[in-house]
Amino acid sequence: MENLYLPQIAVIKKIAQETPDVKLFTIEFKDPEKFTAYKPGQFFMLSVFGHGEAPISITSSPTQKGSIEFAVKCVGSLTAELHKMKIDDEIGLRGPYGNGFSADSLKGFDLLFVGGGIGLAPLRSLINYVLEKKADFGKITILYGARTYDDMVFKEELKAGWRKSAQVITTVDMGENLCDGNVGLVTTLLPKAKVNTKTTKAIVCGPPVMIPFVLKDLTILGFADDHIISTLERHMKCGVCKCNHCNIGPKYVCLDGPVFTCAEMKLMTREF
Amino acid sequence: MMLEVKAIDKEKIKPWLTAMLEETKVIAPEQSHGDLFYEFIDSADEAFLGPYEAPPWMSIKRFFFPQMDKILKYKRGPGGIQVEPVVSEMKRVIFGVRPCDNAALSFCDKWNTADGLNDIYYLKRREQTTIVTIACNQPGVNCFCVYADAGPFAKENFDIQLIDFGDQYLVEVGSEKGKALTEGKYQHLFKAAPSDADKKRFELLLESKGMFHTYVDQRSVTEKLKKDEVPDMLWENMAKRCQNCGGCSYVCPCCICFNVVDKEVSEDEGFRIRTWDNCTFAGYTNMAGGHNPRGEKKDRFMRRYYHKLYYEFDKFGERGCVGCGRCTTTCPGKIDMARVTRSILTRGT
Ligand SMILES: Cc1cc2nc3c(=O)[nH]c(=O)nc-3n(C[C@H](O)[C@H](O)[C@H](O)COP(=O)(O)OP(=O)(O)OC[C@H]3O[C@@H](n4cnc5c(N)ncnc54)[C@H](O)[C@@H]3O)c2cc1C
Ligand code: SF4
Ligand code: SF4
Ligand code: FES
Repeated sequence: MENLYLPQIAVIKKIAQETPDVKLFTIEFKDPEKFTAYKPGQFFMLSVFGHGEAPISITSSPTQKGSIEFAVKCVGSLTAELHKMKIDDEIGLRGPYGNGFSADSLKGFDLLFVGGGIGLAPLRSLINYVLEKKADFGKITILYGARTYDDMVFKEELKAGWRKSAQVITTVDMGENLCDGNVGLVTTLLPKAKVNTKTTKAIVCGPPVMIPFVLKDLTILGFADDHIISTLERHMKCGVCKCNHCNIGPKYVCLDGPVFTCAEMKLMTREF
Repeated sequence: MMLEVKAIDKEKIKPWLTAMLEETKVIAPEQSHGDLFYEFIDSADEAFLGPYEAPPWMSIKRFFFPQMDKILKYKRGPGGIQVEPVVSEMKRVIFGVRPCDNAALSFCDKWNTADGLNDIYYLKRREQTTIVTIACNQPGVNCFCVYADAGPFAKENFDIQLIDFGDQYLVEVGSEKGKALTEGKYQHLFKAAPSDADKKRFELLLESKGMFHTYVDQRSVTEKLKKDEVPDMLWENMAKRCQNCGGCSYVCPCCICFNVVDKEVSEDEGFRIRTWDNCTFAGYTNMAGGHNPRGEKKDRFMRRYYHKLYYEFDKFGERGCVGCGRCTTTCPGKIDMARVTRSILTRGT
């Protein structure tokens, strides 16, 4: 019988400082055989031995073979330890878990990505995937908001890489935006994007405070509920629907999610 | 399904336990400081064989899902980190299990195999355990298993069930594991079931069912929760009395939430440990960035009841409450399953 909680050992191959408190880790399984295919929107339970486990989204595209990237914000004990780690240090991985985005259901549509803060991490996996298979999708628009310019993750891609084949607009809550000048909440970018709501699917990920506002504005713009897709975050301890921590009503974010359509989210009337 | 029905004289119970102890660990109700607990026993004399009333203070949950359970061991060495599972290998018999606790095991079996995801720590222990239940002829004052479809006699999933017939027990063998405890070296302890066993069993069950003091209509409560018919004020008022002590879930045989932490024993070695958790704790849902989806006590309190009586019922066809009454004994705020469901039905309109 397979042990649900046994992590595989993985090795840190590259570390990039994305922002003062976010690092991008490139990871390879110690035993390459353990590498399993994953979908954008899925996550791994990442172990720092001695400090526990945390759910972390995959931020690399599934077309990238052999290694996986994670963008991790330092917020507490485990993430602080991870930030202290160096190249060739070992961590543990269990997964991939969760339903992930269904790329098939997006085919033929224009795509509008709306990200906030570290929430761009799971979106980046899907963005890089669709940009590689551009022929399958329509026009691609990426809206991103961060607290300050310094807090912007994936600046290279936001400033240059993605702009080659997508419309990219960024904003910051405060201070100067050295990327493209916009200051204000991410919702202020929605009218600027000028998307056709009938032919577009919107994919949203960001901090819990941001999501309801973005969903509301998208609805006002005319997006149908099943054309809005979001990923949700909850406190998680197992990733395999046993610990019970991540429920929203009868749904479990680790198993039924973390990706939900706005139509599904509207049925989640009970947080408890 | 019953494989066999036999009988055993009461004076043969101790020799039976003694014989068991020669080949396996035995857990049985044991009196300690005036209370009853399921404990490992070293001799048959330590087992408390009745008369039974309230079930032992804690359920048998901890023998399958310990309050603190080392699940992995990790070690740093020259070749890198080695991680290995810590899986307990121990054959044991749990003797004198109450039907409510046995029914709770059926519920936990479902949870631990749900969605095709099997929890080996639970299942390994389950596999190595033989369950001998004792039917309740005298339910305790807080018991309501009869209304939770869980007692007072066990219906299924036991290996052996004993039913008190006065000077002897009727022995219902429910599985091959149970059969093994009545055959071979144990065989001489047993005799044929009395010819009027069926009739006597029926009468005793009827008598026991008539002795409950606590009535809980779980079915109607589930319906009310499904329709969100319980007024917010009632939840608010009940939740105010919750001390977030976690007692309810620790004593509950159906509470299966857990937390996971690592414990270093040296710089290079340590364990991953899972511990019981409680959904009425605020930290249970707290997230990075300070957002807490169930920051309000009322939401956490509601979650406990929605989960047990509605979501789990929807998923498995069984509720996360077998009516053992332990939370009634434990809860300092007097907002236990029996009282809450009663409030919902009498005041919740
Ligand atoms: C599906 C999913 C995907 C995620 N993806 C990413 C990602 O790509 N990058 C990233 O930086 N973060 C991500 N997170 C958040 C990340 O899991 C938490 O920041 C991390 O668990 C905090 O661990 P810590 O030990 O550093 O913090 P702690 O010291 O444990 O606590 C800091 C805060 O985090 C909360 N917290 C603790 N454990 C968890 C947990 N298991 N889940 C959620 N919150 C928790 C605590 O309650 C506390 O408020 C994701 C979370 C989920 C549920
Ligand atoms: S035992 Fe009572 S007071 Fe304690 S957490 Fe449970 S409901 Fe709240
Ligand atoms: S909710 Fe209370 S009565 Fe029901 S099984 Fe749990 S402890 Fe026993
Ligand atoms: S993370 Fe444990 S149940 Fe979802």
